[in-house]
Amino acid sequence: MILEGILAVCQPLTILWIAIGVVVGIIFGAIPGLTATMAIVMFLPVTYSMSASQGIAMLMALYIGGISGGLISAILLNIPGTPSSVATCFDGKPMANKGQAGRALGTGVVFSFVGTLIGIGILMVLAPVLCAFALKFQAYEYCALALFSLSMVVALTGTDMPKGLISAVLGALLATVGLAPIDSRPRFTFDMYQLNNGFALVVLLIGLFAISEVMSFAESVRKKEDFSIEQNVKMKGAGFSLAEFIMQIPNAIVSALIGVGIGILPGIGGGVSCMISYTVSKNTSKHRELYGTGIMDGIVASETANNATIGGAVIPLLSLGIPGDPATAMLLGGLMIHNVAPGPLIYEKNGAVVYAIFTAMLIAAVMMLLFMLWGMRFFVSVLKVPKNYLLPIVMVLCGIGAIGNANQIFDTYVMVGFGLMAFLMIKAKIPTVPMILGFILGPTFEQNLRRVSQLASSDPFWNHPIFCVLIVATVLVVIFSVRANLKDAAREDSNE
Amino acid sequence: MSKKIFCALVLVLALVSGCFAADWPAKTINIYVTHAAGGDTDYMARQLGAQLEKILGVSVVLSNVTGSNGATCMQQYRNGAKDGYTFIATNTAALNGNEATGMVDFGYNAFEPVAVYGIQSGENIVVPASSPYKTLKDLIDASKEKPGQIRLGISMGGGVYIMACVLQNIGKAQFNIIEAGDAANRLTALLGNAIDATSIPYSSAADYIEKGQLRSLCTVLSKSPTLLPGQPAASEVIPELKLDTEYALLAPKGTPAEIVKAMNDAVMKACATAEWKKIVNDFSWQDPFYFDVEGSIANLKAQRDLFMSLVPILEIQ
Amino acid sequence: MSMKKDKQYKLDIIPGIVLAAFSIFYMLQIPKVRVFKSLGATPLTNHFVPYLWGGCMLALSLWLVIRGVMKYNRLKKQNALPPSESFFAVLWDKREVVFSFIALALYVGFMESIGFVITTCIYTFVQILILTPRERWAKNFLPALIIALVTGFLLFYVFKVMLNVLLPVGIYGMGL
Repeated sequence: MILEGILAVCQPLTILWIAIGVVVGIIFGAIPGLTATMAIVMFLPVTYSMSASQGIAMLMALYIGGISGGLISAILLNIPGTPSSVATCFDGKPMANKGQAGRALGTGVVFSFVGTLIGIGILMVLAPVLCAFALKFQAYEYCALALFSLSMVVALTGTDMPKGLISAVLGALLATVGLAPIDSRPRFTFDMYQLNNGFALVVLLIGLFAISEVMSFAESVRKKEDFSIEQNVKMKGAGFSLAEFIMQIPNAIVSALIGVGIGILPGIGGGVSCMISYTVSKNTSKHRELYGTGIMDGIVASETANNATIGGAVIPLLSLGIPGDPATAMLLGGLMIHNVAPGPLIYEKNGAVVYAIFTAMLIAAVMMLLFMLWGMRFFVSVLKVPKNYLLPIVMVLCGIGAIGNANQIFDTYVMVGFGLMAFLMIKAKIPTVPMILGFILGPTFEQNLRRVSQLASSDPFWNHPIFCVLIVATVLVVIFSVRANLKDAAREDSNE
Repeated sequence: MSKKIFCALVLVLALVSGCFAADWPAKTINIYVTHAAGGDTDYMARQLGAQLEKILGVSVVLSNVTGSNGATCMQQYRNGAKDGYTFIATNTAALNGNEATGMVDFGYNAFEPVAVYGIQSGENIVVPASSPYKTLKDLIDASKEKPGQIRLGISMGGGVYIMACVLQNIGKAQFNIIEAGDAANRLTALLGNAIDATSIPYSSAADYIEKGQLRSLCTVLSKSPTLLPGQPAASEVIPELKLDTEYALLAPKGTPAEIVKAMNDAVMKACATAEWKKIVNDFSWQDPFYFDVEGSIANLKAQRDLFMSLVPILEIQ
Repeated sequence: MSMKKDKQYKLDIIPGIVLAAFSIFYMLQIPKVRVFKSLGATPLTNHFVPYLWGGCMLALSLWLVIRGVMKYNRLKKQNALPPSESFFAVLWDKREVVFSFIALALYVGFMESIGFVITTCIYTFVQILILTPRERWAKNFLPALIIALVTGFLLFYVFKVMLNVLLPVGIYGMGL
């Protein structure tokens, strides 16, 4: 059965589809506004007419390529290509500014690969055990998990806490627009049916990162001397030494575990996993003050975690038939259409397909590594394109992404609105990153809080040990982060 | 005078629509799918699109415009181009359900129905295999004995909600109704022992039933799928408990009747092939299921009438 | 507290007031949301969390306002208030940003009626010029025009024709 699965993938045509999937995925991931999910949505219908193993192999390749490609624009343009690479910007762009774009890309690519491998490894070995754990997460646990993840906001706010919190709360407020969770009543839609769907994460990201990048360039137009940024980028191998790689291994393992853990729990996703692992890595590091100035550790944390989330998310998808995010929901559809029903019997009924999926993921991971390392020279040359030409094209692509997300032109109006909001926020020195956490986690928190309110009378919280642990952990994280923030603020003051 | 103008108008209209029908189809046909890629509504629409392409000889382009259980797409295209090149592919549970639960204020009458062209494998009411209940009646009786003790997981607003309202109000069951989210979430909740019973699509439950983790009490289809015969139907216990999800093709209101007819002919031709039979057998355990224009409208009306008769018990303000 | 931070008192007061007004507006909208009371309704309704976030926002923005006023008072005591700038002067100083937003708004505003290709070509061209200093316009005019045309047509072909994204066709039919 294992051999049968491997053989099903190791055919020229299937390998070709994987290669195409990886390349298309990387392109979609790398272009701001187009995401891995969108790549899967657009190519899913193409796979309807393929054989099961070909179709699924291609979808997996799109997924892996898409999540990995996001780091390119995060590092080179300071615009995350996908929600999963938001935290890659934090250290990626400062590194590129220091002339180490190649090193930053190399780190991102290699540790994306490492993260993917760890994720797939855990998927292959531990899937059944972890599923039992995932089933323990019901309303109470999710409610506490959302709170716990939200508490990371405090660590991400930086030295100006009220403004960081405002950003997060504003994100949560924006997420309340649209049909309410649970009862589907429209809220704050002002009778516009287009608002019933709420705001899309990708549209918010375009506003927060892409438009604000264009505007910050616009501000400096008359001050610029030279237009093409002559980056003297030296590229040797992956851009870093073996010793540096070994130094990062503990960081990578912790980040990968966080990534897999978040991947297993349906409904949280890669956008959160990279930020949480970045925060954890920063707060446990001996040189936390260097985070954000362009060090490898930050990129390693973010990129290992978001790629490990892939393996994590596939665990409940295959073993329970439960998708964890929009991308895996598409994959589930892709499997069902080929008459592969994910669930507890998948190993018995479609064992060959399962091993075909594992093989396809491994091949896709290797191809991703090779294509990205090989393409780095080309990616870096993006920096040589004059920005006054590059950014307008990026804007047009973002507009296409906003339309393509739900085939709604209305979303482009929202995009411009978010862009204006982001510009004003930056002028007011309100950080934009906490907003993303608030936006993603706000609805999860609300939905589960309301379910808990329904359960509380018959099923009190002390029956839920995981809930209690998470709540205590939340309190500890908040206290620790507030103290660390105050310390940072004091240091900043004394430096001035 | 006015009569003359009227006659002239009718003549012109007839001519214009005649022309339409004669050269139709001359260019790409756009079908807007109300649900996301990967779902059953999308799959069926795309399979139909591929067949129509062969029959009509023009390209058929499918695009997903998703959100609000299909309401977004229907709202956007119900007044779309009436030139016969714009169609909407949806399912009847969303079309009629959204009207009954008050999500939108229009029903199939706001469109020109073209065809009902398929039926889903349906949802089943399931309990863990360890539970003592063997039939739907057992479950309802048990809930009456222990009011508010048996937890029924539902999601608000959709077909499952209508089902729960029928169970509580017409079936006089006394479940503890727990909101448990979409089908995947309800499955998780059932496996994680957060609820005692729920309704999920047969396709997601099949493996668990076979492995002996879950037990199906009944299907909520009016009769069990052709390839899964012998399942008890919920309507045997409560006649109003019928939830048939059928796939429908609609055109914007005002699309010429000739074109609707011509499109329906093409759909019927597609559904009569052996290839189509294999597709639906494999995908939804059903035999081909399709109607001409009048039959499709009658079918939609029957379900709408049933759903609208339930509006008083849905207690939606 | 350093003087430098105090001088940014406006960055506390103005956003604080705007956000406080926004949160009040937001909370005034909440009672208009229909509450779901029938079968399976949750004790915490769909009003609860909006009030929670709205309340948090109001509290945080008031904190910001108070902090800003305190900074202002400290500066006043030291007679170190920075000279105020005219709003229009600031706007003129950032004219490229203002023009970029106007161009972007017009672009998306007219895209549906005029069509993707034409609006994209015009927008790309205009935006390239906005991001180019005046003295270099002559040199960049032709390349900008070519890039704009290529962008409009190529992206339309790739995304609309190949990938089926519903980009608006507009008055430029192309027989599609």
